[in-house]
Amino acid sequence: MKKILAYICVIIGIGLVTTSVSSRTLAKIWEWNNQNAMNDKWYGKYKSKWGDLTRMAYLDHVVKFQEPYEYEYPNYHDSTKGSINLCIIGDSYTADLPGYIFKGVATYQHFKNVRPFTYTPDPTKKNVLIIEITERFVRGILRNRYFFDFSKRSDYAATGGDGKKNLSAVVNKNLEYLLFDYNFINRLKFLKAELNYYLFNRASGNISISKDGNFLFFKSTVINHGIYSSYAPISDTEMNYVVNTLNSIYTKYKSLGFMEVCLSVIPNPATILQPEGYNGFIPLLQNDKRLIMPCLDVYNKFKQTSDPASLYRVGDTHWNNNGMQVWLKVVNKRLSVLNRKQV
Amino acid sequence: MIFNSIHFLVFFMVVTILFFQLKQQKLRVWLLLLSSCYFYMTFVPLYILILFFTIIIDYVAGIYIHNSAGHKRKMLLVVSIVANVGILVFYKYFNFLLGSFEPLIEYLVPHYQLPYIDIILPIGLSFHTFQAMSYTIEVYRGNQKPERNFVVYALYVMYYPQLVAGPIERPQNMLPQFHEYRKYNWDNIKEGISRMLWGFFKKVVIADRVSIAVDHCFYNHENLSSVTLLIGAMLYSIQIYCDFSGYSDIAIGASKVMGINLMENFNQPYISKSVSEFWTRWHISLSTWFRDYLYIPLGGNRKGEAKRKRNVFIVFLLSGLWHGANWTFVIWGAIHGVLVTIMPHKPNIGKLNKYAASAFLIVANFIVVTFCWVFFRAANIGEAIDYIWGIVTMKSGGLNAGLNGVELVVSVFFILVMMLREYKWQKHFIQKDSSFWVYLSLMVIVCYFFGVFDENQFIYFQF
Repeated sequence: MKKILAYICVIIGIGLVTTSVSSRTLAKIWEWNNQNAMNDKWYGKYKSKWGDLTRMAYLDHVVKFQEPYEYEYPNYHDSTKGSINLCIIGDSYTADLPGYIFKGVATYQHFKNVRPFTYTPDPTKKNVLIIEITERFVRGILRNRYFFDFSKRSDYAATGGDGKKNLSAVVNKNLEYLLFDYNFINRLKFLKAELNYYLFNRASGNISISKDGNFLFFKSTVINHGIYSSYAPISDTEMNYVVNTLNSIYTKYKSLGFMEVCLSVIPNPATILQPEGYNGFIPLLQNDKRLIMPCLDVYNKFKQTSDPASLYRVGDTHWNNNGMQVWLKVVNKRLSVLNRKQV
Repeated sequence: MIFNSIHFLVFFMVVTILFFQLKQQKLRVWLLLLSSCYFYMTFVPLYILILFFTIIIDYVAGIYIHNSAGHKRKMLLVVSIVANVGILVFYKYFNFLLGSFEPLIEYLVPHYQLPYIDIILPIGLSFHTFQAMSYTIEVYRGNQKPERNFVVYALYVMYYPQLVAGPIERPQNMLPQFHEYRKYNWDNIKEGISRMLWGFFKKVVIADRVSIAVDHCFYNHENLSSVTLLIGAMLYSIQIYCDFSGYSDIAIGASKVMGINLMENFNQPYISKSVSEFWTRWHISLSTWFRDYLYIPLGGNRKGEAKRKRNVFIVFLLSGLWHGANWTFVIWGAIHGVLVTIMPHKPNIGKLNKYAASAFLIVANFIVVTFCWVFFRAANIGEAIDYIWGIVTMKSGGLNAGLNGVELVVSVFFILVMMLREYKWQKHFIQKDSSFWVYLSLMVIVCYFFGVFDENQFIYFQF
């Protein structure tokens, strides 16, 4: 009996690790679970409605971090005559935005997670490209040139999409999902998170609490080192690299037939809400005279807002409706100008 | 794969169960070797080739050294050492050496682009290189017969519990154990698991918690008060001890479960009364390695006091360099070298009674060692000097050490529990099963609720 039990443990262990090596297999398991409605019963049911950071920190029950997901989308579809083919290569900030919120737009396509795309600009139309990147991702993305480099798409595919990751980190993440993403275990996670929060004023995992205690941030954006941080000093060499890379991306897309290619860097919440010690990445980039790519400056608009705390969701890494409206105003102003321009 | 990860826990469970299911020692050795390969390859898979390159060289060298005599014997040892040290120097010190000579090269050849290499240091390189070297040296000295079984020898270098951060073992201790069949022993399992849990406690509950304060103090040292900086430095002393000795506890415990005994690596270093005593209690496997393979061959204490001091200083200088390719480590080693040579092993402080004298010396030594750790932790010498200057000038500034009051109190409480436990109850074996299960449950609960799980690597992995 002991022997059988031992071999069952071995088989389960090897099975778990083997499955966890592949994130694709895990994705299939997740999909299968969804299709079979297993999630609602006992497996991975927890999906916070208050925001991604609240979910990651398991702080759903803390009233302070409960802010509903509410966005208002203006409709300019009928009110303006569109002549622009708008493309946005963007991340989660712009992923869910509908095309009708943009002024003067005839067609709209969004390419999520700053992936290279197969879109061929229509030479008879005003093709406009907006490259939207969250501040914390800019340097990382530009280090991986294949994100934008058309000639190296095969290299990009060879990396498996998200770049090479440490095998153990992948396996660990997947094992955590397989072994500990059950509803009854989540209760323990909530308990630990709340204990940490109320005793130590600390959020679990990769989440930090703002100095005023009112917001959650990604820890990587508030620590004093790393390329995601709002506070880690940036060397001249790095700035040169960022500017040169953006210039080459700009030239490349222009040569493909885009009338305009704009950059829009969305500030990290910490950049706006906790500006003391900010490394100044966005103003340094936007004010760099060597940068030929025009910028849709949302940073200064955010800074000029009387209440910056009203721009971001408290338990989420994204902007709230107010923040989105500020960005939209900047984008639409630019689109209106371009709409009036001759091809 | 790091010890404080789910991946390791599953891996350990599978390997240990399979180990006891196999009834032949030959198969067990294969199992341990293959699992060690997997363990190592979860970091950078390709680097296993480097490891096997040195394993093959040392394996062959060991046999030929044993069969040779005179000059040839010496040459074979030199070949083996050059191969090992060569790889170590190339991967760990090439850029450092190049950088150190950069001003001179810039002066001689202006605007010359130095050929820095863009590589990741193979994990645990310094540890397994030293362990491999101890084998060939012991064979050369005639203290160890060459290992003919290649799988056993490869396992000696690659044995997963101590592959990446020691203890740096000796062939006399490990090789016989790999040949001996060990029966399933519940007492070993209890002791091993208790020891592992103690290591996890030190790592995730203490080291990773106080590291938050340490990081805060070192990154913001310019704005913090002297008191805060001192607290940060002292917490670093605790962090590095709990981190490294926690790793050793997990390694020793994981091995003990399978009945394989690893050497002790720590013996309450912070109750030392002098720096030289500290080094008999801290990272014992490295200290004894340097003693046996460097200090004694240099002449040890056999050629007079002046040469003894010179030898001690060389050992500490190289020990510092062993830790990392940075001048901060060299300075750290040099300071320890100076302190060990000038300070007596058992200081006498006159009229104080025995307990008061001991307490005074322990505290004084802890403070001295703490100041030395600042060089170890700082990113560069300038930062270390600034930090220490910040402490000694009694400057005012921020009092926030990066932990709130409750967190600091809880951390200090756990530190006291750790110190008291290690002072009073050094053994990890729990006789009664019921007590073992209570201990296990308690440790799991404490580790889970008070542990920090950010997948922090062990500090010594980088060496």
